[in-house]
Amino acid sequence: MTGNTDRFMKFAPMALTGALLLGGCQGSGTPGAGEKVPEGVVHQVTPEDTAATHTQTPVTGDEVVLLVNGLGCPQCSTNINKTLERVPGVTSVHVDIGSGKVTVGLGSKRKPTPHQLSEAVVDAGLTLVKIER
Amino acid sequence: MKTLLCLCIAGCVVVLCVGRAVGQEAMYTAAATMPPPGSVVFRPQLMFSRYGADPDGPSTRTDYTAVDLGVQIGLARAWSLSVNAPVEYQQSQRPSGDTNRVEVEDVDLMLKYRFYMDNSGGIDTARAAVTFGTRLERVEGFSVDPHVGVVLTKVQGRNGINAEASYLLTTSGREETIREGDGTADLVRTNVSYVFRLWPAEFTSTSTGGWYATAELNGMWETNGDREVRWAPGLMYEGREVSFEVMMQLPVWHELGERAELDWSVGVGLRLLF
Repeated sequence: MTGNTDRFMKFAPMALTGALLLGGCQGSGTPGAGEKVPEGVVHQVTPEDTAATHTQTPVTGDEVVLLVNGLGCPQCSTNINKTLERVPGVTSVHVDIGSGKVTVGLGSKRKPTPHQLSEAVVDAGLTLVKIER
Repeated sequence: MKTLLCLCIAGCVVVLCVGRAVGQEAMYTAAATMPPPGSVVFRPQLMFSRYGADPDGPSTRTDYTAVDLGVQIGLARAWSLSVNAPVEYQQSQRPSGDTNRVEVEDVDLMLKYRFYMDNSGGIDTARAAVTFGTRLERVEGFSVDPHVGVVLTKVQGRNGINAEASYLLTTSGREETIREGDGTADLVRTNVSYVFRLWPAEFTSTSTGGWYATAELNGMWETNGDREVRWAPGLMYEGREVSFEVMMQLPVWHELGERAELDWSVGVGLRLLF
């Protein structure tokens, strides 16, 4: 390679990486007027809510909504979909990665326990923090 | 070259305009993530690399093409098994004439165990995993090269960072080698990747995928004194079941006496979740 080309090939990825880092830092600053502030998903839960996710009493109703932490990527939603569908009594799963909520449809006869649902969520590499009925 | 320069500048502009970002696993740096029990990720990668003259061999230039047929299987909670079987085509220019070689490269088996996980927010997570496995090297029969490593992953908002270190104990190896880790020396790898979610800025209920910019620093330190650091910028699309990635790798610093210097490398990859 020529000297200029060599310098460019070394500079270009460094510039791109620097730009990435700068881009990452930009959002941490104070937003300007009218600028949309990205909000991360923060579930409002109490210690009692989290404790209730480990109870052994079967849930009631036709569906429950699971509030999940760690749901940060599209493939995570597929992972949790797969593990929840294996839980006896679960008939459908809908994952909303925008809100971190997973809607679980339940069969009319057998119902899973919160503990079973929590274990399935952990199998997917995520954490169940609250169950809304 | 002007086109490449324009693309690079455009990439920088895009990145600077979108604000902050996050992400998952880059191409050369592992993440402390894994498929759930019973699930499989098929991850084929196609890589083309051009190396310069071998200081310790007859080749003046080598083009190396490899298809890595990688599979990662979720064995149990926090446990996964990876199997990588690269098929390579190597063409070397030598004063005595060109040589070609096609072969199934060394198969690698690796177990990953995630020993720490803290999902602190809807998206945010911190994870750590250890890896251990072996490379089955085909040099005068089979030899077993064990390796161990540690992987750290942190995702916050749209930003993700992975750090990885591993040690490969080489029990045999080839005398004449082009690539790192193929010789008789042990190899320490240190990789760091930054992954930035370009789009969408925020996931919504209808989101089915995301675009990520990635940047990696790949360090290779061999016990024969060869040392090298490379940069690897890339772009990745991650969908719910299908992902693809494209990456470029360039040398930034090296002290090599046993093997050839990398001129440049490009790679494309696919990830299918079953």
